[in-house]
Amino acid sequence: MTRIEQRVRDSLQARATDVEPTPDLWDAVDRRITRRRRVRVTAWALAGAAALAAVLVVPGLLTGTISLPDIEPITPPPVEEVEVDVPAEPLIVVHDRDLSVVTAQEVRTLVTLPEEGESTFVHVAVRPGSTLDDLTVVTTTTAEGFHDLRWTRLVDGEVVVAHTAFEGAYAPAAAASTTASLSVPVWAPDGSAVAWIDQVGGDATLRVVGWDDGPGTGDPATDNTAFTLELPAGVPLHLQEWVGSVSTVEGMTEIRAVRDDLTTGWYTIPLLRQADGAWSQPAGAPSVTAEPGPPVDGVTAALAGVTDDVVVRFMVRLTDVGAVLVTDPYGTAVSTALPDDLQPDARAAALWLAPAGDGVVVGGSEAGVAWAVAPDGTLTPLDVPIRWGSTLR
Amino acid sequence: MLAMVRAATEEGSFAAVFNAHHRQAVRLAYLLTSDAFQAEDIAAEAFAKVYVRWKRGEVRDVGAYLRRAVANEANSKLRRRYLERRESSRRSGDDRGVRLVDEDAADRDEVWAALARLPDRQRHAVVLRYYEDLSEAETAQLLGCSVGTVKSQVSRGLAKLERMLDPAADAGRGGGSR
Repeated sequence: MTRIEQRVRDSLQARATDVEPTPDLWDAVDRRITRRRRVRVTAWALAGAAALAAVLVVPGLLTGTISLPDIEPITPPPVEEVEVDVPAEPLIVVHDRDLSVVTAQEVRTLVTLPEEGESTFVHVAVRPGSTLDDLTVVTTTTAEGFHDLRWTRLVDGEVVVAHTAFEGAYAPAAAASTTASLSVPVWAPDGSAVAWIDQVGGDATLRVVGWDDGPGTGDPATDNTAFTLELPAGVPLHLQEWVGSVSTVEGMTEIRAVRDDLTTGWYTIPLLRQADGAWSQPAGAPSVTAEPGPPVDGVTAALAGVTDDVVVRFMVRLTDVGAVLVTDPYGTAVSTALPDDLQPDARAAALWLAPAGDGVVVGGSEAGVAWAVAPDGTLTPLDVPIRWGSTLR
Repeated sequence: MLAMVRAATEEGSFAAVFNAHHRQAVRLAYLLTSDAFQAEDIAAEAFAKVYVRWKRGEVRDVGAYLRRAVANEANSKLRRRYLERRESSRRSGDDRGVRLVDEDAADRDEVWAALARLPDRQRHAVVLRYYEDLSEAETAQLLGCSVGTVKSQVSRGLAKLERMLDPAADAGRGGGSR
């Protein structure tokens, strides 16, 4: 142990023994337990009444207030109206040929792919910093076995750039080959680049394209680059999020990903931003690293967190009893069983998570359904067809 | 007193769990945040979360589980750091928060003062490694980051502490690493 390590250890021990809890601490714990118990009772009453009514009105839920249906419940609920913390933030969604925004007030279609192209949307990723007044999204589309990347920008609700394909040096391999696959795109935390994986046969390549009012910057340092990922062949990697400030090394970021390989954890792809803005991978480090999973059952199918936070906030775990959402998997690890209509989609390629406030939206792309999960575990179906979704951030 | 009666009846042995671990939880929270007010708040929230799992019989090692809950609570405070500091400042002078046995000892401890100036993530990694004696892998799991990130945070944190504690020696070495 070095001298500085010993000094730190001694100081921490001294300061720890200098601390005494106040007698009020148990009262504080007691109040919190009581409050949580009240919330759970309320949530159960709501769930029972809602199940009997079999009716849920999404716009009402999105505003955060639910009026219980006018029914005769088996057990009278203790309250007439409850506050449920479900996402009130706009959700940008794709389904079939439509790109839409779901807000508390409405579901509004922003753009529709032309019918003659026979393309449909698969994924959507909202550029960080976007608002409903100035919105930029990158989407993946599919048509006749080809996958493509497109982008769309709306200003003040008006489409100024409509579903323009990535072309030339920025085109994904899957746009020219039906044997290539294209991952979900992810944005750099500051919106300065977008990345995806081109998977051709057993080779996986991470593509990073700088952004300046569209794909490419014109600056050789930041315009576009690619990294070969050293992975066992056969199982594609599914990108989940691009996280900034993961360490004290200036410019270090990581892209998090999962695979359908029954891993308990997830994968990180480290990306270092150089002084000139160019992206690189740290010298001598693996291009992809398998990270240990949390001490909870199952394998990882999806994960999401806060962009500038290193902690994974939400995970979908595949367990013996089906797909489960785990909130705070490295902390209190609260599990919520996902609804039956998400279970057939329970694999990494088909499930998506979109953090919204303190809750999260969980979707299944093949079933075309999504559910809002409130912090207390309350599940609310979003009553519109959704193949993929992404929140503003 | 009412609380203790309840502890003996309704909450049963959770009071025993509390009695066995509350001091350690508050101390860890204090070391992670350097904030007397937040320390008790974090410990209380951690116990309340542990209680839910404990009551269902899902917690095998309460100490480890509580440590994780405290670290996670402290970590989540990062996002609310500014507001918490403002609140802490507003409440300065009241009697809430942990008690310090020797009020002046912390002020006299220059290592502690330097630790408090580290970025939150570096301090969390250093505290977990050198106070809780966790391995790099255990620290990484607890913080929800990679082992490499923990190594980097600890290394940078120690280097920064050395520079703060002994700037003359650091200058003699040519300024040290960035």
